[in-house]
Amino acid sequence: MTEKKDSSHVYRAKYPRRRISQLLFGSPNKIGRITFTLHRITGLGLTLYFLVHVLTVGTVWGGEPTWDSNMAFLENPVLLFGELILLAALGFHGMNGIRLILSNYGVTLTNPSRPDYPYKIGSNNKSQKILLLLAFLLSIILFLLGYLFIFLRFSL
Amino acid sequence: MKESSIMLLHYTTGILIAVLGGVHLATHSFLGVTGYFDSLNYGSVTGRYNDSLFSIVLELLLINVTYHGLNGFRIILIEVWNNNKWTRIVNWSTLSLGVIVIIYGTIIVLGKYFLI
Repeated sequence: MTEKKDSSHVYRAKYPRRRISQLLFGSPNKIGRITFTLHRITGLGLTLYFLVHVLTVGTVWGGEPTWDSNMAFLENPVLLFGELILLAALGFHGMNGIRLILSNYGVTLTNPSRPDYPYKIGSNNKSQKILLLLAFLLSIILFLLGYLFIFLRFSL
Repeated sequence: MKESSIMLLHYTTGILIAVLGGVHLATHSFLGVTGYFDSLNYGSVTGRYNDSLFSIVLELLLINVTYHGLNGFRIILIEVWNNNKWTRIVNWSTLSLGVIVIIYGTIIVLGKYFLI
């Protein structure tokens, strides 16, 4: 047996380990749990993209032939579709992030009330649902705009 | 730094990224260029790097996104595994990775002074 100096075993006894599907979707507030998971996944993806982006953009100082060959490599359909997914993730993460900041400061939340039947969650009220819909809508709009500019080669 | 000030900075950098990232996307679709592929020409890209206003936007974006992204990664890691030693390891490694990314990115943004 290894010694445990911190309080993690107390935490684990109080909150037993759950299955990954339960962790992702197992909650009475299902839409909130799904957006929580999506927010984290898109955040990780965007951070990874940012690190790769800094590395690839740095090749611009290698001269014009290097840059052109790199751009020719990046112009394959799989990576372009990846950019569309990225734009949708960016829109969702941004709008959902604004919603999270607002609810952290209690802007859209109501006063706490006694838990009566049918135990509706007070934080999942109408303005929260509207903001969530806006988050999904904005991600779809950014996806379509990306499709317009990247795949249909729209130019002004 | 206190965790509450770290989270306050997390929110402010998030809002700043929403604004500056909008400018960054605009410069790659309609602001000063005719389209996405036109904005990726060698002359167009170096022209933007030589413009001091766009350089400031890129530098601010670099610092804000590095902080926000790596702090989010740190939060996820220390929430999944709850352990004092692990927390210390994650804090120091994300901090050093962030410093490396900011230095590397600053050299690229100011590449007209460093690399040519």
